[in-house]
Order: sequence, then C-alpha cells, then structure tokens
Amino acid sequence: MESGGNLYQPQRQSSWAIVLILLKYIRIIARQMWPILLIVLIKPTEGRGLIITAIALGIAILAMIYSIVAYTRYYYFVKNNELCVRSGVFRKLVLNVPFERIQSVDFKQNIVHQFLNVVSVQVDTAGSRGSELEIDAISLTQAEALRNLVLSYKKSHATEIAASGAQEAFETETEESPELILALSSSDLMKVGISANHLRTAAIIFAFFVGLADDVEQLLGWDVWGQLDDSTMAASVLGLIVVLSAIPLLLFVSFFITLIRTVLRYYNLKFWRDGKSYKVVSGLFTRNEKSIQKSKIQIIRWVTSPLKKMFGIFQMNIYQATSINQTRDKSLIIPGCYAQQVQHTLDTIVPAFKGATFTAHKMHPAIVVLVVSLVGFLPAVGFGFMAWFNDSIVQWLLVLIFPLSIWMGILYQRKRRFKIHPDFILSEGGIFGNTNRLIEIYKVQAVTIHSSPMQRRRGVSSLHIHTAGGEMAFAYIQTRVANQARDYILYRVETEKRSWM
Amino acid sequence: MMKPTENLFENPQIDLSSLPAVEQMTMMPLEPVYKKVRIIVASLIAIVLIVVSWTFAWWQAPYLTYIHVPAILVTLLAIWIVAYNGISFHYMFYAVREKDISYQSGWLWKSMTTIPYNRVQHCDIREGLIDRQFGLAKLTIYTAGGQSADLMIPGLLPETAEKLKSYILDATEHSIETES
Repeated sequence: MESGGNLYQPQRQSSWAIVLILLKYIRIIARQMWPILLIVLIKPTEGRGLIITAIALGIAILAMIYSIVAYTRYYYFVKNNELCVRSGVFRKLVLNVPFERIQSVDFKQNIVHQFLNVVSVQVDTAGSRGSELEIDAISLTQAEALRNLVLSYKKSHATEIAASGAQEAFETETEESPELILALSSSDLMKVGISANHLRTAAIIFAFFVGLADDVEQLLGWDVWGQLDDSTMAASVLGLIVVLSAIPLLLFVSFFITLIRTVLRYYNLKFWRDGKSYKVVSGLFTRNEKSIQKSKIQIIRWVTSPLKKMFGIFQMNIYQATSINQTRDKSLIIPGCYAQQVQHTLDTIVPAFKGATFTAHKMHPAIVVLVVSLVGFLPAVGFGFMAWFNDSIVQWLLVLIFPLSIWMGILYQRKRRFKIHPDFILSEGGIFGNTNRLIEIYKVQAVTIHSSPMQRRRGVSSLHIHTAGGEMAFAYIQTRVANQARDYILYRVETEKRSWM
Repeated sequence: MMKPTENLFENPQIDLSSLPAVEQMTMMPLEPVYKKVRIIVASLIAIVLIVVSWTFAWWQAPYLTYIHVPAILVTLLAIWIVAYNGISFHYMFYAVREKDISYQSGWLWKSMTTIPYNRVQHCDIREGLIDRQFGLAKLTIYTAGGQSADLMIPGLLPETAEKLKSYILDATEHSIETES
C-alpha cells in the first residue's frame, strides 16, 4: 500500500499532462479542419492569409488556456474501493468507478509520453452502460500503484467468491512467475508485415483519394474527376493501360504502407501470461500495453491466410467482454504465432479443448446462391449499367466480380463449418485462408434463429450465438440442428453455476 | 433434394430430445391494438416516401424521361411496407419460461431470440409517442451480448410490461444468488 499511499488524496496528473492535453486538442482540431488548412497552404490569397493566421493563433491560445484549466480542474483519487475522477472546465464532472466494475487497466505511451517519462492510463469498465475513463499523463510508478491496487482488490474479492468452490482460483494462485509465450523476433515481424492484408490498405488508400478528390473539388473548384475523365476515361484503351499500371502501383504502395504500419505497431511485441491474465506489449514509437483477465475472455480466434500459411504463422485475437461495441479495439492481437504457440495459448485458456471431439455441420450448398447474388450478381448488374451508360471499357472490368463471386462462394461453402462439443462451439471458415473462432458454451448471452422463405423451403435456418465479446453466425444450417443447438445451449447456460466473467 | 437429417451431436452424452424445446412453448400474442399502431407508423413512413418520390418526379419530369418509373416502384414499396407491418403483427409472440424468455417476430423473414434470465443485465420499459396514445409500452431486455442480442417486446400493456420486468429481474437476482 505504501507505494500508492497518496492515491487516496485527490491529486492532479503529472504537470506534463498540460502538454499532452494540449497536443490532444490540437490533434482533434487539426483532424476537423485539415481540408481548410490544405487550402490555406495551396491557395494563399493575400490579405486573407493574415486573417486566417490570426484565427489560427486565436484558436491555439484558446486551446492552451483550455488545456491549463482542464489540467488544474482534473483530480483523481481512490476512495472506498472506487476510482474517482473530478474534472470539467465548464460543467463539473464527477465519475466514480467501483473497482469490481473495472475490466482492465491499460497503459499507453506515445513518443511524447516516452520522452516525458509518463504514461496514459485507460480504464475500461464493462457491463451495462459502461463508460471509459482516461488519465492523460501520470508517472509510471503512480500508474502501476493504481493498477496493483485494482488487481489486488479484485484478487481478494475473487478468492472470497471462490472460497466455497475451491476450484481453479487456487490452483494457479501459487504466485507463478510471468510466462513469456511469444516474443516477436524481427524476422517474424517481417513475415507478419509481408503477409498482412494489403488489399485492405489498398482499399483505404483508394477511398482516401476518392474522398480527397471530392474535398478538393468542393473547396477549390478543381474538377478532379473531370480531369481524370478527360485524360483517361475518354480514350478507353489508353485508360485501360493507365488503370492496369495503376493497380500494381497501388498494390506496391499499399504493401509498403502495411509493412511500415506493422513494424510501428508490433515492433518488439511480447505476449505474456501472468498468473490469471494475458498481456501484450508492443510498438515502436507508441508502446501499447493491453491485458485481459482470463475469466473475461469470451472468444478466441486464430486466422491464417495463404501468405501466412506459407510462413506457417497465425494471427490470434482474444476478445473480452466489452461495454459498448468496441470488440476490435479491446481485443488482444497477437500476430505471428506459430501453430505451437496457438496450441499452447489454447491449452492454458481452455485446457479441455485439446483432444475434444467435435461434431461438424456443413452449410447447405444454397448458401452459394445467397453469397453470389449479394456480393456478385447485384453489384455486377449495377456496374454493368454504369459501364453501359458511360460506354467505358475500364468499367466493364468491374463486372468480373460476378464470376469471381461464384468461385469465392463455392470456396466459402466448402470450408464453413459449425462444430459443436458439449462444452465448446467452434466456427470454421474462410475463403482463401482459414478463420477459427472458439467459444465456451456457458458464456453465451443469447441465441437467435432467423429464417427467410428461401431458407424454410430448404429446411435450413441461420443460427446466431451472442457472447459478450461478439457474435457468431451460422447461416444455412439444418433447422433441426439449429433448434437442437439452441435448446442445448440454453440448457447449458441455465444450469451453469459458474459466472460468465 | 433434402439430405438425411443430421443430429446435433454424433455421440450425445445426454438425451437431446429430453431437453426443453423452445418450439413447444406457449406463445403469447401482443395486444391487438398494437396492430393499429404498427399500421399507423408504417403509413407515416409510406406517406413520406410517396410524397418525396412524386415531388422529385414532378420536379425532374421536364428533364428526365421515365422518372415516374422509380416513383411508382417507391409507391409499391411503401404499400408493401404497410401491408407487411399489418400482416407480421399476427406472427409476433413472446414466451416466458422458468429460466428464459423468448420473442418471435416476422412473417416472411422470421426470427426468434431467447435470453436466459441469468444473462440479463437490465430491463427498461418505454412508451413512445404513438404507443402512449393507445396505452401501450415496450419492454427491452439487455444482455452483455450487445445490441444485436437485446430483446424488445413491443405492444404490451404497461401493467404487463411492469409485471414481466419485475418477474425477470427477480429471476435474474435469484439465478445470481445461486451462482455464487
């Protein structure tokens, strides 16, 4: 208790927090106003430049004053096993978070934090209507004291509950030293970067430029699309060549961007098991530390893609119970695991999974028709109309999505499985790669069964299984299997004595 | 066409047919006056759709031939929305069991959600503007499974909703007590 003694008195953050709060506001303002800033830089009209500079300066000064006031009015302290925060510049805000509601206490350090030797603390609270709490900058010792306080409270509380059962809680309570499951070496980091999803980056870049072109057009009156049409679309053969050479360029650029992003994000990644919690620390400039308590784990997912398969690596995601829909953000991401590390992690989280025999159920082949009509046929008709209307060879290429979707639909149906074991449900799927998601049945929150007229004619239904860490959906499984699965899941949940988190 | 029917488990440890089956529950219908509410709400949406589409068609008529075609399609869609909402009322049921609650809805596109009481986070009762005119309320049951796992039963009398809510909260409380 000594180290965090003054935690019980209301106190301000580290004074460096002013700098960090200021940077935060500047980032927010810049994000809102970047198109205007762009114009100022591109089209500096005399006279107007002065006004804009004055406005910018005014905003900067206001932001600075606001940060200082925000800093002086921000207090945090611990009282009655609650983390309390008093803040607010114009309105007074008081937030009390009971320790038992706290899901995780995560630290984050961006490059400024590292330079100033402070951390930002993110406290995630789950359950109904949870809210999040962030402390911008406190010293690492202070942050660790806070986390230890929360963890030790939770530990003593957990043992109180489990005292009668005397199960798991004590088995692992023997103060194990932290076990390093995975340390991503630089060659493995390269493998992760090379096998990352470049198509997604390409799509983001594409969308960004489409958005940029629209913005520029609106703000500057440059007709970007018109110019593109003039130079490329009008002469369709030339346009085709331009587009065909632009695609490899786009892929090349996306490849490098994903590679750099991967290195920034996962540099020196370490995946630890520390008693009853799992922890990932990674990042080059921004050191991120995320941890999940074992009991909060809801879904374990491991994925491989054709490129990842070549290297023999998987990406694991561990999803925990979250307050709102931020499952992506709150999952532990462990890229670059080898099969043996995936197996080891599964063994420690769900020991009974090893050697469990599952009964597998396939999806009805009619799902191919559904997939093809949704992602293939309808878009193809739309693109076809567009191409016909614009008389553009380039746009006709987009119609190729139709045959592509047939192929993908068939692959999807072939791999998709609903697998069930008395204690687990395993979802298998993937088009080119493999995606596996595992849940423990007693952690299910609700079950939904959908059916459309088409599905009923074929005697199939869609089974949706909701957990606190996300949803699993199985479209087109036999109605009989879906109903039996629902009845079985409900029976398991309703007779379960263990808490789901 | 149909494959031989599968079983959930190839080698079950328990007799699956002995489990309480959700399909065999007594389904409770919603208040009959709720059908009126549904039709009124759907009609309001339909009127907006029709007015907007025909105003647009009338405005663009000098410039675009065949502009009335999409307007006719939108009108048909609007009529369909009203009809579907009226018909689907007859397919909306809820069912209360000892350990869980289910809600079923949909005429062509059916769906049924079941929530065990020991997974309920909280419940609330809301009365919309139109609901209140007809003396109705809707009960929403929340779990930690997020929005898609929430269960909303509309078209209840406020007393029924209140009774259901306290029953569910009671059952939830009870299940948590036995858990620890």
